[in-house]
Amino acid sequence: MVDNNINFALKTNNVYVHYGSKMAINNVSLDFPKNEVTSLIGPSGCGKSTFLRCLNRMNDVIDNCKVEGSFIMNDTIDIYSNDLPIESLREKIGMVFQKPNPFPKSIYENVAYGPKIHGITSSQSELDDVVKESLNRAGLYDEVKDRLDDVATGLSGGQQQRLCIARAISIKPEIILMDEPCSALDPIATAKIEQLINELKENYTIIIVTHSMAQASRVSYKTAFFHLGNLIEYGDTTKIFTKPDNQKTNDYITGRFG
Amino acid sequence: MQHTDKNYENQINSINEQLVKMGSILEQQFSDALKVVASRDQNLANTVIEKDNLINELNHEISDLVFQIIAMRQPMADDLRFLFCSIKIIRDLERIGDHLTTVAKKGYRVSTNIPDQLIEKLEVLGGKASVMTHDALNCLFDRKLADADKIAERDNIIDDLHGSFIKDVLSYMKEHDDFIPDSLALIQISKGIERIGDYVTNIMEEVHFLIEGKYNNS
Repeated sequence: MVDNNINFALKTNNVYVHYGSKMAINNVSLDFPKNEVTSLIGPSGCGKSTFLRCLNRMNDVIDNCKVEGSFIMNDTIDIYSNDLPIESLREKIGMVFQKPNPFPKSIYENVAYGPKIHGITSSQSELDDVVKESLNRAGLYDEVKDRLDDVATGLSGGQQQRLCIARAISIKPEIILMDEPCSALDPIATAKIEQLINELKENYTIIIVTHSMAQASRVSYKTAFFHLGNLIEYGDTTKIFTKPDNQKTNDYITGRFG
Repeated sequence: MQHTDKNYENQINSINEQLVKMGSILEQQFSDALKVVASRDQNLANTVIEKDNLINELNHEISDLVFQIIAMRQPMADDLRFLFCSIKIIRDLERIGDHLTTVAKKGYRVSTNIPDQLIEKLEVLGGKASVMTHDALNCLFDRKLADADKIAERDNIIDDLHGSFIKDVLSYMKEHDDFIPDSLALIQISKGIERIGDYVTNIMEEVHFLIEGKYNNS
């Protein structure tokens, strides 16, 4: 499923994932266009989150999880290469989770933590700038600028999630993975995150797992439909949601199964 | 495969049922309107005119249902295409009903002194359009792509028959200036039937979109 006319931030090929003897991903090959949003959709247990977590080696910490296949970033970097330290990979590929998970520290410290440990900044004023810029890009700065030293867990759910996005982009990754980032948020907070995703794609490649068909159709340029560990269909989001080629895709997005 | 949510399944089915009902009334209306042309039966003409109210009511009922489903269910893929096409198809069906009303209104007033030859030609035109409408309605429910495209092509036959009929009526008018009002009525009837062919063609184009997700540009 390769389109030669577009640049890809990440290419995956013949990916298999097993949890013990159970196959979770079955020979999936999927490429992610640079500076675009790609949605991964499918019913619970279809493998979409497993696949997403392969993209920054989150599955490495699961004992019986075996990942096979090729994961190449920018046509050069092998994500699973032994030569690539996991910290370097996470610097390139950030992640935002389903539930906002700010550190129990101040708003400032949450955003400053990444740049500090990755040595991205060399002075306090530079760090201040990165924190401010990241919060700005996450659309949160104006709401928190007068209380940067307040504890982050005191923010609302939507603000916490935008803080997590600010934290993710503070280390200037190329790709941001989002695993159901709005499932714990109300419609207004969701709209803010979706607007943010739309703005962030100018600088980042975004891959989002979502259970909301409406969200996938609103935010993404490409959509991939997974079922029982297989990639059933991948294509332009407008096509997937109006005239998918595969009957299973049609049946899933119209609420006939799943 | 049915929708997991039974209420949603029922809502989509009810649109289909209402479309069947609308189509069925139209077919009866068409048959009666052509009988009016042949028999000049005023009572039957009134029946055709009255049935148009039912068509208009169904048009609004289906519109409301589709509007509600779009608002409440955010339909996707084949459901979305079906609802999108339904909205356009009911408008075309409603227009067909209007033209059949014109056929009936003009039909019963045409003088019985008009030559049978002209009336018979009009009946041939009406018959072709009626069968085309019947087949189109079946196609709407069977959703066979090849049938939709073929039925749409039949509009050319309707156009040719209409053109030929107009020529005949104009010739007749030149020689019988006392029958000009009747001849004008015949022209309006023929034009109404010709327009029905256009609307049926539109419906087939919508069915093509419903099946393929794009319009037939050939």
